[in-house]
Amino acid sequence: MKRFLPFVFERRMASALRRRPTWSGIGASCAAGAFALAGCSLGESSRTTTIGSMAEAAPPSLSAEEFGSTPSPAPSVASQQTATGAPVATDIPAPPFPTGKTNVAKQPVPVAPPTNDFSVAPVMTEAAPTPATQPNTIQPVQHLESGEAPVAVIGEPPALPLTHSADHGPPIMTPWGEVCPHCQPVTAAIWKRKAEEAAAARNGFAGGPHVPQPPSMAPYTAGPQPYAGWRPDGLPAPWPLDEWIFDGGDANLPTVVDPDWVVRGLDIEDAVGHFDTLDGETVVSPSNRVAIYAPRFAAVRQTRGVVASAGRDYLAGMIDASRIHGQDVHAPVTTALQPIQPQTELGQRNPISLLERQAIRRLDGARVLARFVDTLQLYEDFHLTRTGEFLQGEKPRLAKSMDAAMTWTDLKAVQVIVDEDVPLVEKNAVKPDEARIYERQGVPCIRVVKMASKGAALPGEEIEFTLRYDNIGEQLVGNVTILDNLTTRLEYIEGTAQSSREAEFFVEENEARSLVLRWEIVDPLPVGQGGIVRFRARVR
Amino acid sequence: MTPKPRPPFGTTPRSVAASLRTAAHAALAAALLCGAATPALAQVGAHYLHDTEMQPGAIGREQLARGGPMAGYWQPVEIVLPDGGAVSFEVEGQFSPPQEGSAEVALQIGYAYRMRVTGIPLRPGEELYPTIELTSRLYPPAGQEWKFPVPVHLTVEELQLALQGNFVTRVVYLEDPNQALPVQDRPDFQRYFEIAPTQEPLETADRLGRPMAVLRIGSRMPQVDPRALMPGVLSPPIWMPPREVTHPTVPQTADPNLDLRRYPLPFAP
Repeated sequence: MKRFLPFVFERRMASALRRRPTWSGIGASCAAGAFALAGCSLGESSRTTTIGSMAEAAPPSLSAEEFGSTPSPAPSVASQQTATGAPVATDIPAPPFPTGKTNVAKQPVPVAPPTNDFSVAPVMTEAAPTPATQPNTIQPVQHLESGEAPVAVIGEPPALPLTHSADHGPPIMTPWGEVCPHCQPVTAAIWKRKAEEAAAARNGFAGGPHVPQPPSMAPYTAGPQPYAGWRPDGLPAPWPLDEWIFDGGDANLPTVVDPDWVVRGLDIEDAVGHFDTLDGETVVSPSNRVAIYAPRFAAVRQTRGVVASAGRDYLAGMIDASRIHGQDVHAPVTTALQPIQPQTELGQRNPISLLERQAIRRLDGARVLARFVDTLQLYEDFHLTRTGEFLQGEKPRLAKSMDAAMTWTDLKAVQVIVDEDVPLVEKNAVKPDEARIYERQGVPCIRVVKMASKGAALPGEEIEFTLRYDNIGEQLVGNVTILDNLTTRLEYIEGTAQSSREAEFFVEENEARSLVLRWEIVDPLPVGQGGIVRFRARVR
Repeated sequence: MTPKPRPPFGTTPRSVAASLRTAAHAALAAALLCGAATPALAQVGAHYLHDTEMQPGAIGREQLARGGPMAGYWQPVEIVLPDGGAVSFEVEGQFSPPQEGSAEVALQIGYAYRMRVTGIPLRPGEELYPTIELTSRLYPPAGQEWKFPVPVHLTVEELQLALQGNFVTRVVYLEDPNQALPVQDRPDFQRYFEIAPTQEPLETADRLGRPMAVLRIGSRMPQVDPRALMPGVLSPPIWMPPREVTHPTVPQTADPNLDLRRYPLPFAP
């Protein structure tokens, strides 16, 4: 383990340093801590200004009776970014630190007004980042007076006292924070334990029963991905596919809805939502794909009779040829060398490839959905589920169940969407009075996100699925329909379908001997609003 | 513009399922017209490198030679025995104390693990020495290895067939989700296909999924000629977790409610 530590140490440090700029927002691209603080303030002011402008330009909400008779909303919605907004810098004194680094100041936590009425108009809430949105914030070690034990401030986990052994240099990034390099030898045990806890937290089985693992099994299963992210070249994750069942997405040919309401291209495992625009067009939006580890086994049996003895007739008179001496030695191997797994990690894939897209709209406060039997479950208790807004801190957990959520967000910058173009994010803009205006022609769009309560299940276990849909476009949409075509291995449990909005629910058997679930949302969906549908299925 | 009203679901001229069936029929017709076949059917006549008549352990050795993350991996295996049965594993040249009920062990690919099965129902005092050979491994999420072991069932019927002088080969395979049967799986009964003695079970299992383990039942003698087996078969490394687990047991008879004749092989034997 000690030989293994430096390698992991360097890798973790390097990866953490690479990731670090994203944690500090816009200004984090700067290396200096003071500049990082200023950058954060600049980004915060820009975002605040943007929200204000969005609130002014947001189209009015339309009721169901007004749908159709109301002209289209403003043809373009402008969002502005001004770089001259007053920086909002929270004056929190940084702890003494010899390298001059500064603590990242946490922003005040907004408190959303609690309500159980989902039909009321959303309350404008300033979406300042909560501490939960900055889980990756790394705080430096607080070095105390000479001779005293320094205390490692590592964020959420409780600080562990470290034994001081030498003068301290710059801190070193660890999987759970920063520690003094001189304290590393005496904290090897703590290091190992914290690394195991961090791995357990990533893998999602912290707190579960401790199951002893063979020694050689651990290195391959240290990462969040199966086999530490290793897979054959050219194969996508999760791998191998025959051990997983999937639900969601739009595989093979894209799903289309004909003018006569015939749905075509809805393959097994597909989950899509479609809606009608004000222009009378029907648009299909696929959801992400949820992967569940659920291998199932069967057998092939063969029974044969055994021949007790076999006699062979040899040719008579055959000349026995001389053979090379020593060729006829049979030396069965009596020992076997047990192969040892390489004690290394093959790399871990960070969820940095998650593309996100955020609508230009108002930000709803947290509220409990009114028409649900239960409150939000653990697996779906995301900010995304409550308000439809992506947060940075939820990405690692969401990335485990979401494969391709086509969203884009950057809470530190102006939030823009340009159709199928790479959005231009202005970072560290110092030009005063600069405004960038993006105009869109009222594009309608909904986003469908699918989540599952479990990532692995045995046959017979029940899984709860949640589909969150949001109108992230700029038009009122109607006839919103959510379709989910279940795979063979999933059996819908009768009477478990729920919907946060008034909807009609239908089922129909598909060719995989499972069901197609269909929710028809009754009322039109205004801009910036969404809903949730939920159901349970049993793994066959 | 007012959106057009939405008709009730299911009253359309062609509903979703109807369109799906139509698309499936169209795809099948196109495949037949083009002379193409499904991937499973395309394997007919292929030259398979391995068969179950090879030396126990030879398939796994060749799997290791292909590379990949197989060498040294401990694959949890759940051995399910009938009621009253006990199993012993060969450790350090001798059999371990019999373990009643079922057992969970972790095995490695490339070896043939020999067991001693006692307490066979209706055959008191008789013993069998089957072997298990892993041919592949699972790649579960971290920490879920023991939740998803490879189940190897030894049924009463197979044990009695072996005691009567037959040689029973049972290839456990990982079911292809795209060819999965729409039936509820049970932990106490493993579905199986019965094939003729002239067929190769490994090939059949390969066409149905991914072969994971080969169970050979037939030996009634504890002694074995070492030259008949692959090296290391006498005492291959084995991992036995020190924990108490509850295992399902195989019923004395097959599930009468599960009529496998409804689900024949998806291809001609």
